[in-house]
Amino acid sequence: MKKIILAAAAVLFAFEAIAAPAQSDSTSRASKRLDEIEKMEIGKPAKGHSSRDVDLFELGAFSRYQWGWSHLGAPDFADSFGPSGEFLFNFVELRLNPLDWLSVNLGFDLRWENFRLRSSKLYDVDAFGDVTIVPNPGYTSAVSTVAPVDCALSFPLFLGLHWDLIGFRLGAEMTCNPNNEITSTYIDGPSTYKVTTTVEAKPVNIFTYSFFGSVLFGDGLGIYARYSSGEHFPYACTSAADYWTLGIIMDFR
Amino acid sequence: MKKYILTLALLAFAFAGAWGAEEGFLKGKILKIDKDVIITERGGNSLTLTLNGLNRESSIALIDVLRALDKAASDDAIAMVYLNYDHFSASQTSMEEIRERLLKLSALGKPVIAYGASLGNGSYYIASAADRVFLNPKGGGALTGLASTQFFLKDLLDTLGVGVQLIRHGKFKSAGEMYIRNDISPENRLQYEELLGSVWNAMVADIAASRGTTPEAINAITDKLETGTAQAWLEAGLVDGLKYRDEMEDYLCHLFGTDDPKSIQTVSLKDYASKLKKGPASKKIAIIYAEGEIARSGSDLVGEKLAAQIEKVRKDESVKAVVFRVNSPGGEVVAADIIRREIELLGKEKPVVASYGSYAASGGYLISAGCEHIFTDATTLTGSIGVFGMIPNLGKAIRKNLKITPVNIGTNDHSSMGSGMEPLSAEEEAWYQAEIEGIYDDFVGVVAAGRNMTAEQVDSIAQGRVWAGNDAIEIGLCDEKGGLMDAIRYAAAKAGLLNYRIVAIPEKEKTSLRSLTKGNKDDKDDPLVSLREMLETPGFNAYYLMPYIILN
Repeated sequence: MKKIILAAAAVLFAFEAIAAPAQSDSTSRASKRLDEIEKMEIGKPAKGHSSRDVDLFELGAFSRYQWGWSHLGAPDFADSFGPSGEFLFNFVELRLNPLDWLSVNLGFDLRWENFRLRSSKLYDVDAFGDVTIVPNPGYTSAVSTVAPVDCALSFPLFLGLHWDLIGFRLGAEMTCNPNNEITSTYIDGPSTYKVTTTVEAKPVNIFTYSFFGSVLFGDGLGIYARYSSGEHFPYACTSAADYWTLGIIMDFR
Repeated sequence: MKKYILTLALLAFAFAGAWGAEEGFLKGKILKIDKDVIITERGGNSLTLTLNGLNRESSIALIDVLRALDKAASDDAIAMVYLNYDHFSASQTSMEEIRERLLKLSALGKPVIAYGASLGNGSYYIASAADRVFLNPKGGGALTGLASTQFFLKDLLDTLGVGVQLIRHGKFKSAGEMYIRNDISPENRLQYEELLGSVWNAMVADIAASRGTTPEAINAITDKLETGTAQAWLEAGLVDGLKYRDEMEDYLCHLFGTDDPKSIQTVSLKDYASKLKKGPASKKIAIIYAEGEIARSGSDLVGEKLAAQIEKVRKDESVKAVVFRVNSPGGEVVAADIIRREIELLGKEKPVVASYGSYAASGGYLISAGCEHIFTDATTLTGSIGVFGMIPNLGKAIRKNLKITPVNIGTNDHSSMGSGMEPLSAEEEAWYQAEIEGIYDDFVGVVAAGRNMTAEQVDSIAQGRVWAGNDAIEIGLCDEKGGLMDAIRYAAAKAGLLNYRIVAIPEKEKTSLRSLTKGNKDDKDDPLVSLREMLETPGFNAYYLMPYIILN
């Protein structure tokens, strides 16, 4: 833990040094600031910043897009996870800006998430859609089972706080998984067998939680990190696996 | 998992810290320095009765200005400083100290904008510290460099029949030369040239640094008279734009991201300074002001009067340290020594730090040479370690012009010495010379003791020579370049004070009426006024006095 804190502090000071070079009289910090302000247009927020210079209330939609890549600690039926990803756009958002540097957000996103799991285990899916792991019946080589889980649509309802460049959102999601297919490939000597099983979509939990943080750099471009609970998975029998998503943001507000 | 969250949070804050500084339009108030801001050492209000009526003059003390600008640097409510240099009046050294504060504000990200219609050496010196300098399109002025004009009255006095005997020590002690010569001596021409050069070079260096150019370029512009009209100033790169008043208003509105000028809040320097908090009454730093010509009576700086104030400060236990703010060209020997003695006694009990204003020369230097640390501005005039005495004789003048014949009757051979009616005899002149030599040796001794130098070392840099602040540091007459606030901080550190109240001694004069006959301080620069005063006070008087004032 101490090493991590020290490393982060070193990063902090390094960025501070880069961002605050020594000033001479003719190129003072104030002079540079004036250079920027003189180019700005009244009524539009400064480039590269979240729109702090805004009214008390704002309503917007379809103005935020995120693409992220997720990593999952392996659930008990898979030994790898990925590539998986998500795409999110803001469906509607209401912003309250009580202070220049603080806003409170409430809204709906639409998020599509794609999971890909790889496993060297064998699955058996029963009629109820429950997945179980079965012992290898002795095939001559390892089998790989690919179980794409696609199109996990969710509608996260979020409540967020935004301090200057940093934002946090807490929300609830309803997930629907329209198509789930498990394809198992068996290799037995010279023969290869492929079996595909379709599993009916099954909402596991209608409530999930995630913590989300983002930093915006220039022109509304930023990065985000989201930590999510693992109950998204459609497989009731699987143990939940929390996962991280890291991605980029395009914020046009 | 927890450590990953913490790491990401720290990284996020790192980014925010590096890029999350003040951005966007300005927010806060404008600190305005305009509307006839007259900055003097001690500030105050005065009423002067003139032929045109009652003239009220209000000025701000330099210490209040410096403290206000220091506060503004860290006050989030202040977004920027607006300086109208047409309405700004301060001495050269005050401008130097204020300029430094403006540069500090700028370095911290608070813009300083200067605007006006008339620019010259002094006004441009202060305006050039701003991040943006604007000029009225029909305004202008010229950078000409510094000059000093001397008046020599020998022929006039000969015509009137007035005789003057000048007895002095110090080939550079030129204070009395105006009465005995018709031209400048070679020693003093050299002194003036080097002094003016030193002060001007300091100003040009500051201007060049602020404008991103070189001192050579500034001097070339000055020598070629490339200033003049507003357009010429713009083409010379000395101003950033030409704007009428309404255009300046639009510009300021833009800085604040608004179309409505009424939405921008302003606060005047005077109002802002008046709201500065005072520290605890039990821990004070006293600024003792020695301002003006030192005299035994009838002056702003009467030796006995100031000495009594200094004694009071010495006995005041709530005063933990003292800054001796000197802005004096010197004056009468005995009066100066009375002050010196009290400062010496004060220094034995409390830290006493000297801070020099425009002048701390001759007697002004004598009274402060014993302070434990001396701060000077680059453009301060100091030194002038020398002494002179002048004995006028009016016998011939009143015989010639008024047909009055004075007759002296005395009991002894030299009873009429110094009566002012006859010149001194050779023996009497020699006696006065010996007196002057003794006074000079005393002066050298005081400086040697105060500056930890030998008498010979002091003599080599004395001889009445005047030095600019930067040069004075090099030769050991002063310790450090710095202004009034630097001296206060030094004194506070010596006394171990973190929180303290600053008090001014003597206290500010309340509004007072001055009579028509007394005139005001500016008259003392007039050589004919000096002549009149000399003639009104016959007899021998020795002076530690600096002779001239640089014109901007």
